[in-house]
Amino acid sequence: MKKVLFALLIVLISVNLSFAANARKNAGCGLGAMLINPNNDTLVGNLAMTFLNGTFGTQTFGITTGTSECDKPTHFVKNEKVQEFVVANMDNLAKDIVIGRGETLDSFAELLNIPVEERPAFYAKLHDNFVKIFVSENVQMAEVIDNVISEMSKN
Amino acid sequence: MFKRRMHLKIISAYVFFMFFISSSASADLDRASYKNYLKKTAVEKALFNKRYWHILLHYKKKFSGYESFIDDPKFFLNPEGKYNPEKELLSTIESFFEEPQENANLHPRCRFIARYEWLKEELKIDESFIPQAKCDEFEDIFLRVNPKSASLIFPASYPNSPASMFGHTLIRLEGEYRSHLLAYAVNYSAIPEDDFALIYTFKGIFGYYKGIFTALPYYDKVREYSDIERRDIWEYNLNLKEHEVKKMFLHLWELKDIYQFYYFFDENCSYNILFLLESARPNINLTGRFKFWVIPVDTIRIVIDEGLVEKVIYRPSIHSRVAFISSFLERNELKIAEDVVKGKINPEEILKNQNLTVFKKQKILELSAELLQYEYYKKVLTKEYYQKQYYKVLVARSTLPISVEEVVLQAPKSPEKGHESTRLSFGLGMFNSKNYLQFSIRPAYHDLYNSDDGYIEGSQIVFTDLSLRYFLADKRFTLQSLKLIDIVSLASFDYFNMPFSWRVKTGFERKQLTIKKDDIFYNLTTGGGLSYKSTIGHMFLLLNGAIELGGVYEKDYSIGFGLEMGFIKNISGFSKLFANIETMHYVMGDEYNVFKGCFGQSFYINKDVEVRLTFERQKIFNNYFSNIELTLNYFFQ
Repeated sequence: MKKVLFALLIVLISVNLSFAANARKNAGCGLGAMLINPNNDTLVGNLAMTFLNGTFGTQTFGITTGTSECDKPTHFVKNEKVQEFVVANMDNLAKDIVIGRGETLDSFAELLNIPVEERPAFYAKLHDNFVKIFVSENVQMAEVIDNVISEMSKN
Repeated sequence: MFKRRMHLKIISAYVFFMFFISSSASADLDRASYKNYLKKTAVEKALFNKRYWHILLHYKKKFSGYESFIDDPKFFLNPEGKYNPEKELLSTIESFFEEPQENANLHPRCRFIARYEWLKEELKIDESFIPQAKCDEFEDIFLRVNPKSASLIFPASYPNSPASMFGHTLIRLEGEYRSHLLAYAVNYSAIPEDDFALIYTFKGIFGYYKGIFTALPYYDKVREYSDIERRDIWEYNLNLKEHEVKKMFLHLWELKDIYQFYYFFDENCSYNILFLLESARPNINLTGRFKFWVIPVDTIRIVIDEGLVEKVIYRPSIHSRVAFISSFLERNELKIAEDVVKGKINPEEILKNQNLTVFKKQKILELSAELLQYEYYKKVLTKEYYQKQYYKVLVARSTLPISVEEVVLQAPKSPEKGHESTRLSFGLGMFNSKNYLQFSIRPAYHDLYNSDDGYIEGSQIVFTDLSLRYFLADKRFTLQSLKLIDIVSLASFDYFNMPFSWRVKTGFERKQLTIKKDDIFYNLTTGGGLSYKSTIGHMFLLLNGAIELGGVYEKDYSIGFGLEMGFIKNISGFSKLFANIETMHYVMGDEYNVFKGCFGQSFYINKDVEVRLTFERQKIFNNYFSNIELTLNYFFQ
């Protein structure tokens, strides 16, 4: 009987059936506010996702990401695109700022209408004032945008 | 000439008609007769036979007549619309004359805006004769997306999941921004309802789920594929003009909230995306080029073949980025980054380290940031811990100068440059001094000994590989094997990861248990282990378990386990050497042992032609069997 159990155990060794289908949701307005995907790190989970080309979402035309649960910046209140972008990309934006380059940073500059020739100076300024923009690990989107605007207006 | 004469006829009929209706007093009557006129003209011009109508309604030609791929009754204005292009066309024209309800956005003119725009052009519809409807929902989203150009997006497979090699395709609609992160992704996928993986898989394959189109900001998709699922992304910029992209958007709008049953093998994401491309440029034929199954990378090949692709761009995943930054660092420096992630080292200490150059400090901190994200996305770290540590790393990095030069990660060979998906092979062999000819067909997709160009090294995915043998001396045909699924993932371990390599195989095989007796049996094997890739080659060790059923066994079944050790050496892209040793100990049912050794070499004559030589020797009970085989493999679509 032991032999049977052992053999079965090995047969099933890589078949892990746990698979939870959490709906995607936005978690917060600061760092680490990522869309949560279902955990598909198991083998069968992986396969299942493959067979469905899985995207889990309820919104069909989620043209806007939504920032309703977030505080709004005092500057630039009207530009929803900037707010959505910062909420959705804050981690990568912060990383690009300290490195001084990157696609997320380019997109951010474009959304703020910074002309291409002025971007190196703009990027340098953000880099040098990183701690004034991202004041703590709990910084929120509204604060980040306000701080960027106030750094830009200083000269 | 003939065409022009037809034209004149229509115009004169129209003038006469206009004269006729202008004398009529009632506006309703005007409308009614104008409606009839349009319907009549549409029939005369046989618009229901036009290709564009078939594209917009997703009709496919059946043995007799037509059938639309779309299953949602909401999509059709005629109850028989799914099967009847003509009735659907006439009902569509009629529907434009309906008075708009409170919400004009639901009016067919808005709801089926691509049909309306096309018919308006074809029939020269005079809008003053039909009810006004303001499509502000459409206008709103159209302005926001503002599509000007488009790309076909292909997220490649994710590490350690060869099945995802089948991949996925989506469309990206680019507006006025230069940065493509600010574009929108259009995606077709199934909406799953249950929460049990095997049921998912089954339902996904056999059409039990509804598939719909969704649109999202592209940066959300990039994060999903590139960061969370760790898949490289390939972007194929299309040469569609702005007016063509607009047509595609109109059609996409019609498909909003419309479902069709989702079938993994043919009516899948990539196939449906092709309808969007055809709606943009109707003179290309994409959907008609597939018969039985649709593999996403094949759709890319035909889109390239139709001359739609302008440029290919590679977007490395977080996995590739970590490997890339690591390549600048020594082992002890990788250890520092690892300790930062684990919280054993405060990032500030790196700044004080006298032994490191500024460049090394920059790279260690950048790597630490990537690794923290990597672990957080994998849910290894809590949000609180991640926020704290990630922030500290960035603050430390901000005290060092910005990176002056951008060092770009070299793109590997793009997926469409790999060998085609279907394989046909002819073999000559000798089994225990009996000569045979072998013929095999494998619809999909890639095995460990095929060329890695365009594929992920150490991954195998085989679907329904059928082999037939003909023994020359006995003049006897046999079914040698029918492998239903044979997936292997050899994910090499590196400094940061110790991934689990694995195999899942099921199908029918032939086994020679004694010198005289051989027969077909059913086999299910799964296994797991480790693999390591170095400059010498790729080595792996797996522990396998198998269940076998069949008349070849006295007790009709046998269950066993064993070890498998393998080695693969890629010789500068034109050849692969391989060796494999395997033991199996059957402990239940029929009890016996098998020892097997094999080695061989594949030569790649070109992308789609491969020659392979294999030697195999095995011991079953006390009998030895040997096999030599030379095969010519040809790949095609």
